[in-house]
Amino acid sequence: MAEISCSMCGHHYDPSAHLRCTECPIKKGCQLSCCPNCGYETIDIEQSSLVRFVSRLISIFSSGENKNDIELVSSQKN
Amino acid sequence: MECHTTNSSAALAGAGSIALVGHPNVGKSVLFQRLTGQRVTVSNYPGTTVEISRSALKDLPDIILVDTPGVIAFPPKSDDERVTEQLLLDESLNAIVQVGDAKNLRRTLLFTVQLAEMGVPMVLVLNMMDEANTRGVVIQDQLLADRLGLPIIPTTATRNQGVNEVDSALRRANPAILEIKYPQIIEDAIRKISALISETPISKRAMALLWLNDDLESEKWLIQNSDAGKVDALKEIRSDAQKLSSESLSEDIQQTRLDYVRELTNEVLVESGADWRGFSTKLGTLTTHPVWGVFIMLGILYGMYWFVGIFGAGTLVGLLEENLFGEVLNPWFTNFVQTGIPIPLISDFIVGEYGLWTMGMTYAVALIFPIVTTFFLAFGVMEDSGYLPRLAALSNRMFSAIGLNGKAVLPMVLGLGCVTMGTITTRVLESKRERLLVTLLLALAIPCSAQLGVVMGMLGSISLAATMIWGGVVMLVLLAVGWLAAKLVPGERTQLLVELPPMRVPVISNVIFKTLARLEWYLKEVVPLFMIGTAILFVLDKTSMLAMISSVGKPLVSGWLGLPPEVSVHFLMGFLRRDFGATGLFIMQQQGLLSPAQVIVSMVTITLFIPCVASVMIIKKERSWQTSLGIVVLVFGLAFLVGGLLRYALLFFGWS
Repeated sequence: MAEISCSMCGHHYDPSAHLRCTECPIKKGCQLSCCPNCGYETIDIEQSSLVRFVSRLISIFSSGENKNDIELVSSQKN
Repeated sequence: MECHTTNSSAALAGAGSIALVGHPNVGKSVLFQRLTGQRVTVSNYPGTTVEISRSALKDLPDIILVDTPGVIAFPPKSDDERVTEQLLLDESLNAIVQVGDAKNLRRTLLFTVQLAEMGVPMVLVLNMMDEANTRGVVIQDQLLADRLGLPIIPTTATRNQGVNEVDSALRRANPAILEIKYPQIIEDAIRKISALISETPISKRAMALLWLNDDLESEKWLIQNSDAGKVDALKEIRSDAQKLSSESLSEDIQQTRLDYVRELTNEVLVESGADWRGFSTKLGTLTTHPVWGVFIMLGILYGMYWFVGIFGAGTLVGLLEENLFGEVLNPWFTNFVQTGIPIPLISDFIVGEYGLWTMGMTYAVALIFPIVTTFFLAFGVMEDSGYLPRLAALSNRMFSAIGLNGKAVLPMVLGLGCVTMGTITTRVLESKRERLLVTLLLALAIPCSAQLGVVMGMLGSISLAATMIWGGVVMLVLLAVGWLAAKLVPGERTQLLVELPPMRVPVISNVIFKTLARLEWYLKEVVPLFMIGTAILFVLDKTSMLAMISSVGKPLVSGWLGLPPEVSVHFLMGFLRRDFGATGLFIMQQQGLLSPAQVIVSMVTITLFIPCVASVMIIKKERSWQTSLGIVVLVFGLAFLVGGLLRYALLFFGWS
C-alpha cells in the first residue's frame, strides 16, 4: 500500500492502516486518514471514485495509455 | 556498565518482546509495519488513553515488537512519553530498537545516550537516510557503531531499504559500551544510589540518573519496589547532591550529555550540507520570522480572501445560485413537482421554502460547493507548499506571548481542518489542565474549514474591512481567553517541536486531486446532513415551532445582538453542522435581510458559538460530560456577550 507524508509533521504512514480511527466517533464512511503522529487529516485520494474517474479521463485524453491509480497516489508523496 | 536483570547478550533467544522507541515522526510505525508485516494489535496502555501497537516479528514469531509512542527525552513531559517510560520499566524487554532521524543526528544521539545507559541490548536504526543524503549529510556509521558499541543500521523504511538488516542486527545486539563521566557530585550520588537499590529492570546507573533527574515514573517504580527506609535514604542522597551542586542536577546531567554528543557528532558526521540551503530554505525561514512571517501570513490571508470570498462566494455563487438554480433549475423543478404532486404538504417538502430541493440541495450545491471548492484549492496550495507547519511555528510565537504552552498550537491549527480531530490531538499536551484549556479554545474560537469557507465568502462580499474586523475580534477573543486561562491555570511551558519540511512549489496535480477527493468526501457528508437539517426545519415550520424558537430567542438575538429573530433558527442549525447554520445566514444576507454590520455580528457570534454536535461528542469522550456541558455553557455565554459588545462597537464607529 502506498505511503504518504503528513503535510503537517512530515510523518510517513500508510493511510489504509487507519491507526487513529479507533479514537474517532465519526469514522463511519469517512474518507480522511489521520496522521498517527500528529493527527492531521489528509484525504485518502485512493478511496475517491471522482479522482479515479478524472485520472482515467486524463489518461485517455493525454496519451491514451492506461495509467493505474497507484501512480496518482504516489504523486501525493512528498 | 553495571549488571542488571535484563538478558545482556542474546536479544532474540527464546520468546520475549522488543521495544521500538524513538522521537516522534522518525518513521517508527513504518518500520514496525515492515518488520511485522502489519499484523497489528492496537490497544490503550493500561491506565492511559495512549495507544501502542504490538505484533510478532515477521521472521521471528516468538518475538513481539512493541511500537511505543514518540519520546523527546526522559523524564517524560507528556502522556505519550510517560507510557513509553512505563513500558521500559515494567516489561522485561529482550532489546530496544531506537529509530532515529539520520538528518538530525545530534538530536537522535542525545536520546541514544539515555537509552544506552539503560544497559538493555540495543540497536540504533538511522532512518530517513534518503532525506539525509539529499541534504548532504554523511554519517560514518561504522565509526559510530564502534564508539557506542551498538549495531547501527542505516535505513529508509518508506522504501524498505536496510530494513532486513535490523533482524540480523538484533541477533548480535548487546548493551552499549559507552559510559559518560558526569560531574563528581553526580557520580558520587550514582554510586550511593546504586548501592542502595536492588534488582532493577534497567541498569542501576540509568535508574539513579532518572532519580536524580526527578523522574516521576522511576520514582514510582522505586517506591513500589523498595522499603520506606530506602526511599527516604534515596531522597536524602538526591537532596544532598542538589545542595552541593551550583546548577540543578538535571541541568548538569543534560549538559554533560550534550557535550558528549557534540563531540561524538563532530567525529562521525563527515559532511553537513551547508550548500543545501537554497531559495526554498530562505523562504521557509522568512515564513517563520516574527516580523516577515506575519506579513507573509497576512498576504496569504488576503489571497484567500480574494480567491474564496470574491471569486468563489461572489462570482461562482452568482453563476450557480442566481443564474443556474435561481433562474433555470428551481423554477422548472418547482413547476414540475407542483404540477406532478397535487398534495401541497408533499410538494412543499420538496420545493417549498424549507424544501429538500429548494433549500437542502440549493444550499449544498449552489452555495457551499463553489465556496468550499475555492477554499479547498487554496488550502491544498498551502498544504502542498509546506506552509502549514510553518504557520504552526509562527503561531507558537503568538501563543508564547500570552503564556500558552507551545504544544497547544498543533491542536489549534489542526482544528482549522476539523475541531473534532483537534480535540483528540489535545492528548499531546502534558497535563489535564492544558488539555482542558486548549479544548475550550478550540470549541470557542477555532472555526472548522467548511465554516471558515462560508464565513470568508459572506464577509468577502461586504468588504476587506469586514473580514478584518471578524478575524481581529475572533483572534482577540482567542488570545484574551487564552491569556486569562493561562493566568488562572499556570503551569510550566514546553517547547513546540515540529519538523519543517522544505518549502516547494506546489505540485498542481496533487492540489487538484486532493481537492477533488475532498469535494467528493464533503458532498457525501454534507448533502445528507443538509437534507436532515432541511427536514427538521420543515417540521419545525409546519408545527409552528420555528416561530416559537424565533420568539424565544428574540430578546437575546434581536434585543442584544440586534439581528432579525429568524437568526435564532440558523444558530440552532449550526449545532447540527456549523456551515449549515452559516449558509442560512448567507441566504439571509443575499435576500437583503442582514445589513453589513449584522453580517459581521452574526458571523462573529456563530464562529464563537458552540461547535457542532460531533465536536461536543468528542469533548465528552475525551474529557467528561460535566466538562463538555461546562464548555458549552461558557462558550454560549461568551459568544453572545462578544457578539452584543461588537454590535454596539460597530454602531459607535458608524457601521449600520
